[in-house]
Amino acid sequence: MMARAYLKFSILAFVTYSLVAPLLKVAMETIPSTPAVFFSNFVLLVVVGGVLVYRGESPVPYLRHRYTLHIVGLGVLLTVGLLTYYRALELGPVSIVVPIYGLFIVVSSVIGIVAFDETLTARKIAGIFFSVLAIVLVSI
Amino acid sequence: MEYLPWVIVALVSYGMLAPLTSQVTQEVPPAVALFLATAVFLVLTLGVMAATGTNPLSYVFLPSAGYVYVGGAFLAIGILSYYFALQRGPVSVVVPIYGMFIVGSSVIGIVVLDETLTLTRVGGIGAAIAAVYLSSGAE
Repeated sequence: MMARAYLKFSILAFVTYSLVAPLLKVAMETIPSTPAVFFSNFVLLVVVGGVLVYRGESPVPYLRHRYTLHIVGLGVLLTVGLLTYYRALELGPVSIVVPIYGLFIVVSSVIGIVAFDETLTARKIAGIFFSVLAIVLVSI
Repeated sequence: MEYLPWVIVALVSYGMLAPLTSQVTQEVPPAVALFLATAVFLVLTLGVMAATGTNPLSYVFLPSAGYVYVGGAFLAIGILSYYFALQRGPVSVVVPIYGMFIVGSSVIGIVVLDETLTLTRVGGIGAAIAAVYLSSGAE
């Protein structure tokens, strides 16, 4: 059952992250999107900093590590991904922008399958298909 | 159609995040990777705000900023869980489940923010349940 821990984390991630957009949406009636995203991620930094202290993990050894550049890449992708998404939402209709953005699920899954040799089953394809369909249906 | 290039850059960047996270967390603890990536994000976003003449300090003490801070706490739990999931499981299972946050946010909007429940949205919620069920049993 330990091998399935990732499913529990996936569902916890989906449920808790679901709460973020509605809360930010209320705030963004008076606060522009960039400062709102900046502050929410600042809170994230503080909370995760607390987790590091609790777990006794230090980021210092990873400032000079073979994956340091990859981590910087994560930060860059996060910045570009979030700020361009909010810009698109400002410029275009939610009913088109959100379903297109939802295709990130396909992008990630295809990279996982091709680059990491993850298994490809009919059931997995159906899962990916229904996830994109779900986003389209709630957004249009 | 002015939004199109922005959303395409967004989807490609966001789509590349999960596989890269999966790779990095094989050697770097998820909380460490998230902490450092967020630090990079904050520095870059500060640069964007400086370049566009946005002063974040003018919003810090607004009453509505409270929603942002509570949202930040859920963001921390959500993304940290996502990193733990990507460290342990296949990207092609974790991401379709995680991606259902868009549907989850819509449901909260309907229940709490009085957004309308249309027939297509009911269909979307049904499809999301199917997606989580199918993806969960895919490996």
